[in-house]
Amino acid sequence: VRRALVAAAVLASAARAGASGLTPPSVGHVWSGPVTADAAAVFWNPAMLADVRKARIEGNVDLVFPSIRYTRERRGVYQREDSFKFRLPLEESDIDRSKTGVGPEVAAQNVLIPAGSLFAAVPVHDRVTMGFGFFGLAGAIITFPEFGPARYQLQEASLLGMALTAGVGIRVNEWLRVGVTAYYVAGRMGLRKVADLAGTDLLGKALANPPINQPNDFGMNAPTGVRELAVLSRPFTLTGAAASSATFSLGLAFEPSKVLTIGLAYVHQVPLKLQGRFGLDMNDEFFTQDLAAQGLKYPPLVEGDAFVEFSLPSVVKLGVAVQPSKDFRLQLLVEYFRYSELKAFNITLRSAGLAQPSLGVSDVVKLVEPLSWKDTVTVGATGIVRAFPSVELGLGLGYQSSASPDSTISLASPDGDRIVASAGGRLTVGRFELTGALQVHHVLTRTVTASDFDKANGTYKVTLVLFSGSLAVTF
Amino acid sequence: MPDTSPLEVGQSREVALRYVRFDVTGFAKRLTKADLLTLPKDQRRRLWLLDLNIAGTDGAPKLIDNSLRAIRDLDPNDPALGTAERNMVRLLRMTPDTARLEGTSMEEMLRIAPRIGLAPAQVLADSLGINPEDSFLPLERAKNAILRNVIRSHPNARQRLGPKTPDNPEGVYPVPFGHLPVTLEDTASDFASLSETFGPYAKDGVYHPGFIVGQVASSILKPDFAMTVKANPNALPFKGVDGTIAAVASVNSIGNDKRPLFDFSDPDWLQIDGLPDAPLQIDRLTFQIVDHPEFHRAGTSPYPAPRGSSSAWNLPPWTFEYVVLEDSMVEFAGRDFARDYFFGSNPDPLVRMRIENGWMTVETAADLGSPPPPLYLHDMLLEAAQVRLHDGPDPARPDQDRIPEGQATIRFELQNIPIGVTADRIHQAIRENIEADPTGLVDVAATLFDNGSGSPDFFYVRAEDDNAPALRGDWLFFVGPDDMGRDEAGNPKRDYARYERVGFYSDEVLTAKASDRTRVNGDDVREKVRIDADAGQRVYYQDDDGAAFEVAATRKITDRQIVLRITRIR
Repeated sequence: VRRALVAAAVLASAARAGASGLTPPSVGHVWSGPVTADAAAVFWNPAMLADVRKARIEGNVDLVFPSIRYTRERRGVYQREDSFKFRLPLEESDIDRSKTGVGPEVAAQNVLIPAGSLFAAVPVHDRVTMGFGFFGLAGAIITFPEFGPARYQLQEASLLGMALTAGVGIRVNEWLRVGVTAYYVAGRMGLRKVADLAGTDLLGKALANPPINQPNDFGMNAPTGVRELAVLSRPFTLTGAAASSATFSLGLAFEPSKVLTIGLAYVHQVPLKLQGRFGLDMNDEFFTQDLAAQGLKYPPLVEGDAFVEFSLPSVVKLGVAVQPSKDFRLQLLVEYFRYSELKAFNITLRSAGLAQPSLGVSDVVKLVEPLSWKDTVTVGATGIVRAFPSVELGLGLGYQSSASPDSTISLASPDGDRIVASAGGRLTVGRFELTGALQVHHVLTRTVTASDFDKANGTYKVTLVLFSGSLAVTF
Repeated sequence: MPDTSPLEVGQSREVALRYVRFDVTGFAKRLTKADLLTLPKDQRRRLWLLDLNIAGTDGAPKLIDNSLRAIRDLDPNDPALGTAERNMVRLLRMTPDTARLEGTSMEEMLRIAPRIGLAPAQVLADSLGINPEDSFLPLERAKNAILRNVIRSHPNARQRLGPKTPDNPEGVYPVPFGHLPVTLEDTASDFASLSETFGPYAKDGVYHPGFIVGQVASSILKPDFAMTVKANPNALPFKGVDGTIAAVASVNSIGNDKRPLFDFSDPDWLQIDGLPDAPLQIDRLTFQIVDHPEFHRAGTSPYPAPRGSSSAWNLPPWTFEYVVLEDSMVEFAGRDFARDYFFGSNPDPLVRMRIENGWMTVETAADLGSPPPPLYLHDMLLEAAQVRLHDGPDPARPDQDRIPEGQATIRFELQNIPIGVTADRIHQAIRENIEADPTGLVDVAATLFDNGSGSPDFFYVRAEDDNAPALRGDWLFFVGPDDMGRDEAGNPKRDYARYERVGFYSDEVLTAKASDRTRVNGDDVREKVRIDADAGQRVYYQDDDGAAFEVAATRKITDRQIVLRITRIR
């Protein structure tokens, strides 16, 4: 369930996708977790691999149906988009009063996002079990309308993420298992949006540097009065941004009694530096010819290398399973994500086309999107009942706190306090286990009024519906 | 990319125009000498900076005073000087005591004077009313004579080029007496251009051999000389349409906008660096006065008074002969004097000298010999000056190897001549003059920062709150002569005369004028018409190729963006 919570952020956000989303929305089957002895334990808690006594293969498919809606409320004062006043104060004739206020609702246009995973567990000793896994997120794309209030935040984000893992679980004694997993993580992402150059140093420096010498309000801290001008609203694409990295996780599992299992796992932070290509559409005479005499002249399309840097946060997972009888099992989950490790989403663009030598602008531009995210906590409980000898049914309920504060929220990370509910069932026939589940996680409607520079104030409504199916074969 | 193929007759295309201003304040542009040299030469010549006082009229010696003083102080025996130049030095130093009147009409007087016990120098001094040791040609008089005649007769010293304006379409302005105009061209070339400006001139039937020749060099401006101007332009061009291709083209906005380009209330609007702290001087300059190829005798008649009948009066004012003659006439034309010269106890005068309004007659006793013929004092001095100027190279034998007439043109290569004007004064004068009429500098800025492109026939302007309410709205401005752009030589890229019908019309046959020169956004020189997109207004015009177009305002995108449909109708 909380995997789906992560997925919501992943799918809606390139940034958040980068931060947490190179994992699929659901890893393993619906009841996999830090205290579950299945092949997916190589991901959840490698210590639990030790309890897999027979070799098994598990395949999982997830279908995510997202609903992401946003109603922008501009609270700042804006100048008319066809103006070009680069410094406050504005004259009344330059102010577009109609911009301030609530705009129309926009919705993500996606209807289906697929994901999946494949795991295997192989006992190699009566106390040692090896685990292997692949989980991936194929073609996750989220699209917002080309025009409208979302365009400065996100028009389209795509994500292809995968991880290969290999781990081992060791049964130390009757009550203690330990495990370790090595991760190889790879991802590829794309992004399309309208870049507001007023909010970057790209143009601000060019105007402020000699010889133009025009102090201006452009830059990261640009006030609303100089933002979202038509001339400076330039289509931006990031394509093929790929990276790979490695990390590890450590796991412990305690079984103080036959009815109680406690699992604890730690996944180390993964620094990633994606490298791809960017395109910045500067095909406006303002940039291509009107200021050429002043030394400002860009090619119609600036293309070059893009580097995106962020880290997948470290995670601590705590699971508790209570099984008072053969027919009932209660799983409790607490996860602590160190999202506060992510200070900013850094993009570095490098292209000869960016350089404006006579204005002191180099061919490298660094774009910093402050995140100031908070650590998040996930709590959840799932009850599983054996209704028939070969059929289990389960219900789950969970909560996940929001990572993004109001100041930095955007459609690239439209999270909030989430309630997650799930219902699933499993049919076991011989060596085969077939698991199906419906998960719904609903982000409590979030109204933001304190977005930095009014970039993302408004109301966010996010709901994800996830259908998952798993097939496991035991040998 | 927009379609820029030529529009065929009957074909239409939509063009979106916007009116975006980029009002820059205090945009500082530093112009080095090298930068200035990239400007079209005509523009450099038309940007007048100051009229340099060369005459010392305010009491302090200036360029011409210092030049003449330097000439006078030269060693007349310096072999580095030419014979004519050495003779000129002697002329400037000549007094009645040192005068030699051999070969002149007064030669007879030289023979008479000793016979009656008089020194010729005294007779000469008496006639001129000066002391025998006084100079015939004091520097102050020489300066004024040269200014009046040699320099003032040069067309480029009487008038200068400047910006062409409606009030002064030729762009020609007067230069005060005693001054030389200094332009951007002069500063950019370290004043080397002076020899071009004030050298030989032949135009429209006017000829002047020039008074500055050869190479001129100056350290008035140091190598790091630079002018830094702070401007307040709308840095974005006006967006218009080239009907031929029905595509967007841009009209240069620099110096073409409602905002004044310069803020003269800002004391730093113009900064000039590279003026030396040391006294300013011309390092090298060759000054020339031309010798006429004939010897001009004194006139035999006092008429027409006060000049007399000397043929030298027919000479151009820039000749040596005319300068001496005119100067002497100005000095002595009003002289009245009478004196009888006696010898011993003889009560009868042997020589009677009478001078009335500069006309001198000498009578002598019968046995004393023939007196000199009557003549004007200025003719007497002219003859003396001509004879001495052509003396041979040996001062002891001046009649040997005399310089032939017409070959005694004087060329003094002067070095390190202070101009007598301080750097501060030059700085101040440039500021004051440009502030009084910034047109020239605006033209320079328009060239330096030209943001126009293409060949627009008209452009879109949005009149806003700074216009009267009745004028606010959307306007199409027909291009004017200044909107043709300039090539590297400063010439218009397009011939405005090819617009046979300037402005907009309300009918296809272009008979009903729809535009006028209503003042909008400070512009009252271009034809313009208000355009109403809501009403789908249409106007018509003819371009510089003779093609006719319909312009229909189809819709507004924003208040400052409009879509026009251009249809070629002929």
